[in-house]
Amino acid sequence: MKTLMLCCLLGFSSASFAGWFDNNENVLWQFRDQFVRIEAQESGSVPNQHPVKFAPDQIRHLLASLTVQRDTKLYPVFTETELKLISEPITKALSMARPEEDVSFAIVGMHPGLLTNENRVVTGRIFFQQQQLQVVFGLLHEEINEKQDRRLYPFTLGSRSGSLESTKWKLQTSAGQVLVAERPDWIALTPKTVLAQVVSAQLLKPEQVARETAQVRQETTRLNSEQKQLLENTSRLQQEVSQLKQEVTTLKQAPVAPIAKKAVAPAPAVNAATSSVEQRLLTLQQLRDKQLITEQEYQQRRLKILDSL
Amino acid sequence: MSVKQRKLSRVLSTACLALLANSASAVVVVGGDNGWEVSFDGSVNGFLVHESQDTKPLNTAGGNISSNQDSTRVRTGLLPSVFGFNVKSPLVDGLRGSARIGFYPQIQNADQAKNTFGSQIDLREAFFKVEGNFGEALVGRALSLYQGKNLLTDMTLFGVGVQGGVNGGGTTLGRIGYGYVYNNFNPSVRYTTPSFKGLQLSAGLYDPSVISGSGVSAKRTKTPRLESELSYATKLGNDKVQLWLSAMSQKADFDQSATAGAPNGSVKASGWAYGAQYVMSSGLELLASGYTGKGLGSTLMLDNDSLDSMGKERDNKGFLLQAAYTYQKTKVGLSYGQSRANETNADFDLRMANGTRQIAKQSSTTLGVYHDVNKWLKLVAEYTRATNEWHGPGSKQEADVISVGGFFMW
Repeated sequence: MKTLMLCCLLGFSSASFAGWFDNNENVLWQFRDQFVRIEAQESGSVPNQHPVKFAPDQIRHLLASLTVQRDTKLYPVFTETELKLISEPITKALSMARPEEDVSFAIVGMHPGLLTNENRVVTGRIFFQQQQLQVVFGLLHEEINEKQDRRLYPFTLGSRSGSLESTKWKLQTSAGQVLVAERPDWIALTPKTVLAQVVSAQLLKPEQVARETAQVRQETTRLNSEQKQLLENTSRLQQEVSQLKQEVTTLKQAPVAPIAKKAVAPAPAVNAATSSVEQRLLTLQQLRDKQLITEQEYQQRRLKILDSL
Repeated sequence: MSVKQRKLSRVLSTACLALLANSASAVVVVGGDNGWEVSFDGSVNGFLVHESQDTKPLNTAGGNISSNQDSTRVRTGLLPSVFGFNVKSPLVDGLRGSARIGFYPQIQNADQAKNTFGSQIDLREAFFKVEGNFGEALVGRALSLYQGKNLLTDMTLFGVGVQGGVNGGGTTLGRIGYGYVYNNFNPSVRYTTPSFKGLQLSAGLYDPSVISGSGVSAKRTKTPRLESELSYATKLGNDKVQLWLSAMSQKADFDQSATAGAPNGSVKASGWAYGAQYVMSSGLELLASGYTGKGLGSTLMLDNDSLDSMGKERDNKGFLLQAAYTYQKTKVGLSYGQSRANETNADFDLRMANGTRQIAKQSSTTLGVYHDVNKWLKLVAEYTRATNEWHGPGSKQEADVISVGGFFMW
C-alpha cells in the first residue's frame, strides 16, 4: 500500500514539475533539449548593446547567411526548418535581454551526413555588440546520440573564453562577416552589410536574369549569323574547288602546241593564271585557318594547286 | 536442459532489447526534408564462451548454473543482436511523435543441436512516444522501470557475465539474478516528466503479470502493476553523477476454481530499487545499486520462485558494486553482485521433510575489459566466477566463465 501511495504521489507531483517548467520567463522557446533562452553572460564579458530590436526576417536572413566548412564542403549552418523554429524567439529574446545577458540556443536538425541526412545539433550564444550581431558556437553540426541522458550529456554552449574542442568545423565568411580573433567558432555579422547583400540579391535577381537573357539572345543571334556565313563560304569554296578541278582537267586535255603558243602569250595572261593559283592557295589557307578542312586535306589540295602551275 | 532453464533462456533471449536500444544510436536516417524521419539502428554480437562448473548439489531448487557440464560455445552475450526501425514525426504544435519496433535474434541454436532452429527473430519492442514540453508519454512494450537502471548501468551489459544454462538458446545472464532481478519488457502506459534541475520522474501503469512460485501461481489480476522511477542526474564540473530510486507494486489472486488445491487469497509483489553512479573526468567510475522487496523472484521478476509452495511471497534483496576505469578507448572494470532469497516457513518445512533446499544466494565477481576499436566495433574479454548457495549446510556450487567476443554496431 505504501508503495502504491508513493507511486501515485510521485505521479501527481510530476504535473507540478511540468507546470513550473512552462512558466520559465527566460525560456523563449523549448522542445525537450532544444531551446532559445536568455541567460547571464559569462563572467568578465563586455556588456552587450542589449536590448536590441530586429525584425524576425532580419534575424532569419542573418542566420541563414552563415555557412560552415565540413571537410571540403560548405553547408548552411541552419536548415530552413531550424530557422523557422528559432528566428522569432531569438528576435524576441534579443529585444528582452539586458546588457549583461546573452541569448543562447540549441537546435537539432537534419543535416547532410556520411550516407544520408543525420540529426545534428547546433548550439551557441548570440549577442549584439559593437554594432555587430555576434554568434559564438558551441556545437556546430555535431552528431548526437538521442538515447543519451541529456542531464549527463548536456548540449554545451559556445564560450568567449576559448574555442571548444568539439567545434571541429570552421565557419566561413562572406561580405559583412568576420571571424572574431580568427576563431573558427565565433563570427560577427554587420547587419547592414549582410542584409544589404540579401536585399540586393533579392532585388537584382529579376533584372540580372533579364540582362543575362538578353546577353544570351544576342550571343545566339551572332552565332547564328556566323554559322550562316560559314555555310555560305563553304558552299562558295566547294564551287571554287569544283571549278578548279574542271580547269585542271581542261588543261591536262589541251594539246602541247597551244601550250607553246601560250608560253609566249602576253604577260598579263600568265599573271592572271598566277593570280588565280595564288587566290586559290589563299582561299585554301583560309579554309584551314578556319578549321573547315584538316591539315592533311590542306596539304593535299595545296600540292594539287601547285601541280597545276 | 530443464524446462525452467529453457524458459529462462527464452525469456532472456529477448529480454535485453531495451538495453541495446539504449546503447545503439540511429545512424542511418532516411527522409527528413518534410519533417518525417525514418531511421534504423542495430548491432550483432558474438562471444566464444568457455565455462567449467561444479556439480550442482543434490536436492536443491533454483540456481542458474548448469551441473558438471564443462562447455565451450559460440553464442550471443547478455545483449541479443538487434535491428530496430524508428519513425519520427515532424514537430507540430509543440508535439513530436515517434515509434520503434525492434527485431532481436540470437546467433546460437538452443540445446546446441545442430539442426535446432531456435534463433528466431523476436519482435519484443513495439512502442510509440509523444514528446513535448509536458514531458514524454510512452505507450507500448518497452523495458520496465523497476530495476531498469540497475540493469542498464551494469558493465556486463556489453559482455557475458554469468552464462546461465550452457545449452541456452537465448542471451547469457550477465548479472541477472546476481545483483538485480530481470524486469523484462512489458506493455505499459508511462509518463516521464521533463527534467527539473536534474530531477525526473517516470511512472507507469503496466500490464499485470502472473505471480508464480514453487508449483503455485496467482493468475487473477484485477489491477495493473505500478512502476515508477525517480532519478537525479547532473554534471559536477566534468564529473557526472546520477542517483535513482524505483518502486513496483502488483497484486494477484489465486484462482481456486481453476486450479485444484490452489492457495486461498491473494499475493502482492512489491519492492524498492536504488543506485548511485559517479563518473569522474579522470576515467574512474564507481557504482553501487541494490534492491529489496517481496515476491520479486531470484532471477526473473515475479516468476519461477517468487512464491513458496504455500503461495507466500519470498523476500528478496540484492546489490551490485562496480568500479571501472576508462583510459582512452579501453575500459577495465571489476564488479561484484549478489541476489538473495529468504527461506519461508514452508521452505523450511519442506527442507526438514524431504531435504529440498531452496536457492539462498547467487553471487558473482566479474573482471572485464571493453575496448572500442572505433564507433562501430567493440571488443570484449571477461572472466566471471559465479557462486550459488542454497539454504541448509553444504550446498554450494561454483562456475568459472571466460569469454571473448565483440560487437558490430550501426
